[in-house]
Amino acid sequence: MLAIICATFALRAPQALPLHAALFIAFLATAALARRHDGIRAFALVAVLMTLYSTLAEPAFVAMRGAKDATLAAVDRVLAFGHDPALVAQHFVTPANLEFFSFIYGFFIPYLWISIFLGCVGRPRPERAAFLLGLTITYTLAYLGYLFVPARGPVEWYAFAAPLHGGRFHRIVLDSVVATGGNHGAFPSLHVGASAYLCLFDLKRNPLRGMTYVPMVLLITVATIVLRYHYVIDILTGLAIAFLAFTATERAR
Amino acid sequence: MTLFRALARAGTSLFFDAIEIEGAPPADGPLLVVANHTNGLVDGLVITAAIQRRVSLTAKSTLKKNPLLAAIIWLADAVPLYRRQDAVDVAKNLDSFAAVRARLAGGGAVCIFPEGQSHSDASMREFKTGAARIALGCRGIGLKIVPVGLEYDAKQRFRSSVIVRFGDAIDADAFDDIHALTNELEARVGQLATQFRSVREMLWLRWTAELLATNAENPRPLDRESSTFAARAKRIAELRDAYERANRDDVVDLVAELRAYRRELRRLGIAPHEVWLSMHPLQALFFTIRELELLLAGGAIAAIGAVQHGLAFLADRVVTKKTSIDLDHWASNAIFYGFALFPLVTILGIAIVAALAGWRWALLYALAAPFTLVYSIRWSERIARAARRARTFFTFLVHRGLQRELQRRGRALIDAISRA
Repeated sequence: MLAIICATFALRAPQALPLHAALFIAFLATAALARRHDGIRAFALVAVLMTLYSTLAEPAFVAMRGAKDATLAAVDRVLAFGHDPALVAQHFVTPANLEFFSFIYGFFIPYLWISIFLGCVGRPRPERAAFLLGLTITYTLAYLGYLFVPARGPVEWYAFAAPLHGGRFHRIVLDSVVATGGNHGAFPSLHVGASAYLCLFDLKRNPLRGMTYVPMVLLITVATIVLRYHYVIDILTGLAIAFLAFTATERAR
Repeated sequence: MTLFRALARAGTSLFFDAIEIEGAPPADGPLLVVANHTNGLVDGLVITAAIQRRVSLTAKSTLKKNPLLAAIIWLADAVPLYRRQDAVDVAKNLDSFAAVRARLAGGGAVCIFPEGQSHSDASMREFKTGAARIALGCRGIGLKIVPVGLEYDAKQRFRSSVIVRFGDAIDADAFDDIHALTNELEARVGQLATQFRSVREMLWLRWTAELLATNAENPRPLDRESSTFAARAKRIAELRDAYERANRDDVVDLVAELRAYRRELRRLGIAPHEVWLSMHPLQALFFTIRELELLLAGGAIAAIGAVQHGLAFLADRVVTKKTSIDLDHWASNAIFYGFALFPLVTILGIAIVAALAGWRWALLYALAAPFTLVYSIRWSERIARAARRARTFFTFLVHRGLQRELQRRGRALIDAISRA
């Protein structure tokens, strides 16, 4: 609802803040009133996490006085021994593999939602709680990155030789990026962090499902570079967050 | 880790769904491992995989006649033993025993199977004196003897389970009589692997334990299914003891009804725990979503696995079928021929991919091969179980009265067994 309101009325940071505060109060109220209703609390938690994805980014650019793409690109250059990974990757992109990786990138969304569904429904309560704990940690740490290191990603930072020209799947990805507020939240990569966390959680508790998505997580990682949405440091940070969240769920057992 | 131990772990973890370990042998010092022997060469592999230290195996001398087995025995650095029934010169055992003693004196571990021959009997065979002779020839070095019970769920079946039970170590220096030590070892190993009067008794007691394990409750979801084999084996042993104590006349009707119930379920293709399958539509919907997701999402990987390894599986099955004349040959043949077939087929695949698509795709093929092998096995098991559960669901949906009747009979049997 918050995302829809912000998008519909083109609300900028100062106007979005009261709405975020209202969302926070609503969440606290739901958590307190629905103490005995795990399902409602889980629903409220997931709703807040997913809503914030679209609404946190623009206020961050204003609050932190601009994007930090320069810093992230510099870090990437250090990691890649003086090269820019995103610029190197462009030489390997073809229309066919762009379409393939666009499909993979977009597949993250159904993977996320099916995993949340299977993580919350039909699991024993302690396991559901552990799942939601890890998911919350993943998203919270990622959102802290969005807030304090706002960035738009290589797609807007680098002067690529040519823009990406894909087919249907690529257009779907482009349209969905626009619908969720444009290029933002490059650091860290939630595509990589969230998918890695979901995979790790399943590898421990539902090994076959975890194994099923290991190749997908690896491909998602590559897709974020191919589609120019993330720096390498974004991916590494996303993976670190995933491991941290998973470790927290294991310790909570 | 030695190459042989790595192969043993790989082979047994692929063939068996679970290798459960109870207890542990001493971590160092001279150690003689003494185990029962019902699954041919696999017994040695299972023990090698289960023990967290290097262990030398003993193997009958005639195995060297098979080039593949000769290579495996060389890799395992096994000590050959000469058996009278193989029409070989048993005097050579003097050298073999000396070799074993030398390894023990060096602080190593050696595994021996005193029954002398792998078999498919329901109970252990009489122990030969070789293990005791070796032990008593090693006095003064602090030799410990660990009895081990190997118990298989269905030893010839792919993806069955095995328990390895390590008993308390025996101090070899506490004995000075070969026969006394042999009898002690036989008794100790016999306590660690459940013994039955007959194979028929073993099979129906196992099935009965499976029935009891259902607790007349809705079966668990497929992603968290089954108790461990160790829990089932404990229940089987308890049932065996109860059956031993019971007056046979009192239980003859119960046994007859159990067998009839088992026949009925087998005819219908229904597993005991699925008799209590919930018919709730929401649960059925959740099951469908969960299993369909795996079917679709994992199908591509499984298909790649089938392409990469299907030929090896097929060849392995054909060769195993042709060369196995007893139940205790199956797993051994499947694993040992697999050691050759799977790498050969994979190398062939890599060569073909390299020729057709270049070295990068060949490298990806090679890196993916171990993953797709494990994945395709686990995926196909899961889909088969899901299909059986779905079939059971539809059987009960169409024949509602059938489930009620099966549940009534099942509950009556569980109650009767619990009282007996």
